[in-house]
Amino acid sequence: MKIRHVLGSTAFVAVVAWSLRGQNLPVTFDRLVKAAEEPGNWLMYSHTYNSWRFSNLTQITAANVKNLHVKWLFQGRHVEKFETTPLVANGIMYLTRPENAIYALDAATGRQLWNYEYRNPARTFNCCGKVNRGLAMLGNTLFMNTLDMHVVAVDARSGHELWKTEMYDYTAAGGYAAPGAPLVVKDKLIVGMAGGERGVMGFLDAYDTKTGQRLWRFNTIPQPGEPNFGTWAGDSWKTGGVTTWNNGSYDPETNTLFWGTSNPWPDYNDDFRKGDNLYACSVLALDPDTGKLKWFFQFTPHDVHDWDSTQIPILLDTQFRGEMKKTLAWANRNGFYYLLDRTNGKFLTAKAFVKQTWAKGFDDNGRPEVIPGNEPTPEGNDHVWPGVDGGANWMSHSYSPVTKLLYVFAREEHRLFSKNFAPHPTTDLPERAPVGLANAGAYDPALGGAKTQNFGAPEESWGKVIAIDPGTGTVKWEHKVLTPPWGGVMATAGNLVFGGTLEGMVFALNATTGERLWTFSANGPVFASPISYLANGKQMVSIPAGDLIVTFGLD
Amino acid sequence: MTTGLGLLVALCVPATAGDATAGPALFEGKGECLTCHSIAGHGGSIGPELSKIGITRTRESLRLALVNPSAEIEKEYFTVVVVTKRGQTFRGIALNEDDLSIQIRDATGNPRSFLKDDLKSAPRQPISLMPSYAARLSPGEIDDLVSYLRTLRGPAPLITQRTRQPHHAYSDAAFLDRIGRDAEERPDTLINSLQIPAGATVAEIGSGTGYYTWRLARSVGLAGKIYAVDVQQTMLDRAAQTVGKHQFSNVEFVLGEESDVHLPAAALDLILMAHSYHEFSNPEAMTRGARESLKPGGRLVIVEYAEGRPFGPLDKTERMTLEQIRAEIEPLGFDLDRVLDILPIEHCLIFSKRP
Repeated sequence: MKIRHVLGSTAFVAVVAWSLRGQNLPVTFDRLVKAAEEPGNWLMYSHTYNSWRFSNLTQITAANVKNLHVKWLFQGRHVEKFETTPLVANGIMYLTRPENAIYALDAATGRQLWNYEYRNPARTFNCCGKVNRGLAMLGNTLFMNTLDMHVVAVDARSGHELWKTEMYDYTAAGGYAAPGAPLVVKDKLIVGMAGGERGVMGFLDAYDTKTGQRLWRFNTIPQPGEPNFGTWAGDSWKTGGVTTWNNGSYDPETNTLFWGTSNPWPDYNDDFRKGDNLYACSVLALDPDTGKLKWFFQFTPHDVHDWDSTQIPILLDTQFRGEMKKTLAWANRNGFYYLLDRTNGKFLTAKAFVKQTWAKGFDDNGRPEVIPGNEPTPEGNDHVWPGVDGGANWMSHSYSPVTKLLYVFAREEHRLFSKNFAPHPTTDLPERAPVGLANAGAYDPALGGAKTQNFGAPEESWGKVIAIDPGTGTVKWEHKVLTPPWGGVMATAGNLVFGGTLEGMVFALNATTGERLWTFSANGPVFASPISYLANGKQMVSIPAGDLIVTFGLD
Repeated sequence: MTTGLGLLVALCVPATAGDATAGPALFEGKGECLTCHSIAGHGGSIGPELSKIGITRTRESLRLALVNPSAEIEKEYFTVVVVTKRGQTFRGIALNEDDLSIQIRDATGNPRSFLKDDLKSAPRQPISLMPSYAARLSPGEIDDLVSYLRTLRGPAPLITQRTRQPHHAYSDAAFLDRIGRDAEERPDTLINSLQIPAGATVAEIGSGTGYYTWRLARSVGLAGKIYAVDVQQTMLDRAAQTVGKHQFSNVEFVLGEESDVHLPAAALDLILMAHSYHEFSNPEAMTRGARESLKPGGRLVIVEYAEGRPFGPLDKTERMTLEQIRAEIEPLGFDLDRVLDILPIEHCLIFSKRP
């Protein structure tokens, strides 16, 4: 571990921090609950516990966005994908840079205050790049998950490491990793993990933010004797995957934590894992104090397409068939938008938001009526929509309470799904992680991998920002782009929706109409979701593109 | 891409049709090929560079490209037709594109960039910018040109050069039978592309757990024969189990040595070395032994993880470059006939025994 003070002493850093605008440290849990009242800060991954990723700031509007220009750049000088969502508190931006470094910057200029570097072993078991998606914050402390399955706490003023806890042996089974951002609830840090391409056994953890001690673990695959254990044939539960690799949401009113789960393993071959495979491809509603399951809803029973349900849960209240409901809105990787009653998990409605070939409809409980012929085959089945990367993936959606629309940067494509030889889960699984092939798994060469250009077949894949009426699932407008995106969107009270494409076009759309009002050619792929904050009283918009953080302002 | 199909058709065409020595004059003169293509640094940059086209394309796919250039066109050579709002039209090859602009190389070789706001349309059409030579050249001239293009294989190495450390013999059977190997290596695609005739006699040197062995046994049928060679008896036992599981009886298992393949002389139609060549401690002796055991005109097929691809083993001694393989094999009495570029993470080189 290496800590470097670019500007000298801790005292100097503190002086800079005090001189900047914004509310002072510490960031209390009460402030996190009321984060919407601090639009100048960005205190958690999705800005607020309801995960709207909505900025209340109004300086940048549909009328003046044409004047938006670059204020500063942060140069990451790395080759790995930049998937971070920065936090901003008290005029300081905190961001993670691949693999597991933290940078503190002056949010007005991008000048560096300090950095902290966590050293991973040379070989880690991330499926899809040595990425990290960001931090959580409580008090004066920043929290980060690492690719070798640790959680670290770092002093936000100095960059000094406060504690470090091992979540799990990262080399166990096929290999574990933790690329997501953690979430603070009360005095606990909620941390997910990845490894669904490698025959692991998934869980969601809570740690004491003061000490790093683990307080509870929820096993995402029911253990013998627990309810729903019988949804896995034979011993397949022992290697069933079901990870928790993205961020979650929290409802303070009902004290409920919402978190999505990944695919069951093996991803594309179900020979040995007959059954619904709970709680794969589900949303879990948990008591954050105890880790006890309140309810769950499984979007894709017995998934064979790697359609993770690790999207960010969006908590909103909306009219549903003439009645105001407390709901959970979810544009899923499987191509359907779902509306659930978040007080009990009851299915309300679902509607496809991208082209899909696999489900005819839903029964009253939200169970899909599956259309045969969409299964992966040994020769490869390329007629399935959406593709392996889904209609939505991990990138954030956004909800605006002003327009009352849910914004989703959706992916339209189909991909070849092939079914490989399936190992018997307990007798054939290698005892240790295979040391041979790098990056096998989600980006299996036979599946095509991530596509960076759209040459030749625009009818086979494209992207679109869509505005969904959450109560009905009706798409109010759509804004089409060249390629399926890997970036999320952010709506603002200035009636704008910000985002960026895989080719590096950063854009602002009119939130009411979808009209494109402003663009910037960053020319580096956007693999992240934007944020907005105040620096010296001026509204800024930041988004990672290529290895840069690009920050825009009006003047 | 239709390279697999091209190979299939190629086997039906006599390899000797056409006069390669008449090719350069046609290429540079009547055909005007250098306007768009280059060889060894000379020529245009609109079409593909052709210095090694003879090993990546079969005779028949080269012929098809001359007569019907759009038939096997790859996406990167689709024609973009840019029509501006002022009524100008530009045809070219796509260089880049985003939502705001498109970049092409036009038919004269110049790069051009357009803002989409200035364009009426810019469709990408699955047709080639290349003209058809069906009417411009006689069938005999096309044969000559194809024969010439087949000779373009880059410089053949003259002296055997080894620039790498051999990897130790792999003993991790679980890895060889790992999950997902089919998707990574596409064994059936590979074996099918080799078009091994029924009744052929084939050896696999370094047969491991029999992953390719039983597929070879299937392709030669009961009238054919497979020699499965390995230096580890435990691997041979494992391979025998695999072959037995698939119920083939046309395989003979041979315990080889590190410098001796233990195969009969001049008896084989084809030898496959899949992921084994890089492990040979004495590759020269093994390659010479392989040559002696091949019939005249017999083929040696080498499959190795490709150096420089994003997927593949982390250990670099388990990967090889195309040039490394050529430099070690060709000087020992083989000609590189063809590179199969259909496998996602491997090079597959097909050599023929030089008379």
